[in-house]
Amino acid sequence: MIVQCELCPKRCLIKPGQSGECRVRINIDGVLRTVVYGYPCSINIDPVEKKPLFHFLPGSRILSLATVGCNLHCRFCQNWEISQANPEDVSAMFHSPQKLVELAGYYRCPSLAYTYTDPIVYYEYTYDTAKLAKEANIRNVLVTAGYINEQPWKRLLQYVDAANIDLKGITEDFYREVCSATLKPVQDALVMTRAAGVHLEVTNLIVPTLNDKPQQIRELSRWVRANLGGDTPLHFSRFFPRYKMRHLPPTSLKTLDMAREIALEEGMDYVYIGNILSEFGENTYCPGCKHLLIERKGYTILLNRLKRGCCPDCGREIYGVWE
Amino acid sequence: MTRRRFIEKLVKACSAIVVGVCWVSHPVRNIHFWKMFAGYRISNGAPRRFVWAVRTKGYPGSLRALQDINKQAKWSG
Repeated sequence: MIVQCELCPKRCLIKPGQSGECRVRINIDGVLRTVVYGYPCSINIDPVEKKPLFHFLPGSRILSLATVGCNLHCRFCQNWEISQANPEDVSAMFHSPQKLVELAGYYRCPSLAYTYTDPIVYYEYTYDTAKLAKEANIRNVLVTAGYINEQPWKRLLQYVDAANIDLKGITEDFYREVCSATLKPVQDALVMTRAAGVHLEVTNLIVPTLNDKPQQIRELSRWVRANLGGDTPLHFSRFFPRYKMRHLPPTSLKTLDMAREIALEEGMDYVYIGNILSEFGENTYCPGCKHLLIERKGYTILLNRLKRGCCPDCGREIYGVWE
Repeated sequence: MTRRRFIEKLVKACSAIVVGVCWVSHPVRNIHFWKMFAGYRISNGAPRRFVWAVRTKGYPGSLRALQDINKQAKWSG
């Protein structure tokens, strides 16, 4: 019997013995099954700034994991070796949700990140682990493309403390042609996340010739400001030639600086550039008095002047989870 | 009951019957109605829908031990 996966907007119709587009959710005897539950292909401790999350427990370490598979097929995917792979082709480790929570405690990581590929395709593993982690006072972070249906997203959000959601472009054409997805469900997920009170940061990977036009960046910034708020941290990330976009050059520092300037002009309070070293692009400045609050170099915090989440000079509250 | 009141009730009852008959005799809907009435599933040919996937026993690929997790991942994110 054919099954239909209702997890993401693709709503794959899956014949017996076959998998959905994500490669990891399969139809066995008329039942939808996940082959990656408990089998992460990568577990590492990263700085939280690498996710990137700049307004969430700065300087902390985060236990990060991923299984293979992704429901999107972005032609510029930076992690395509695991996101676009079949589970048969990538080795994995067995770690139950309980074991992951124990690992986070053992290595003194205050939070767990479901990242690298997309936690949406290992939804059940993410959900069960996040639930246990919450009970153990470990915070949960999702790094995702946000391509998921409303009901499962709301169900998962109740255990999530922070999310970095990719907004890959601002047109339906871009999502359809480059990512094999659609824009609207991502926008809905972004709005729902902010409305649910989950700490939210947004990342836009700038790919030369595809989404690096000033007008595209302006539109994206305007949408974020109007729908998520001007205080939502926005990261413009550098592209490196990978997967099906090896013919394009890496994004230049000039383009990233230009994107940052445009977003600031459009009223965004916290705009960062990532995957590249820059003089000011990784620092946090107070939107009120413009004084430096957090100085970063790469993933290292050089200075943190925040006092209980507020600017020490003008007292303005800075959006984020600081302790 | 007055004659007027009786006619009113009669008209209402007849209208309800006519609407009901029209609803049931709808070419598509009536099949579903009678199947439902008879205890059949409405959509025999429709796919089974799932949000939550059940875990499988085992992993289709190879398994390995946990490596040095203190090292930063080479993956983006």
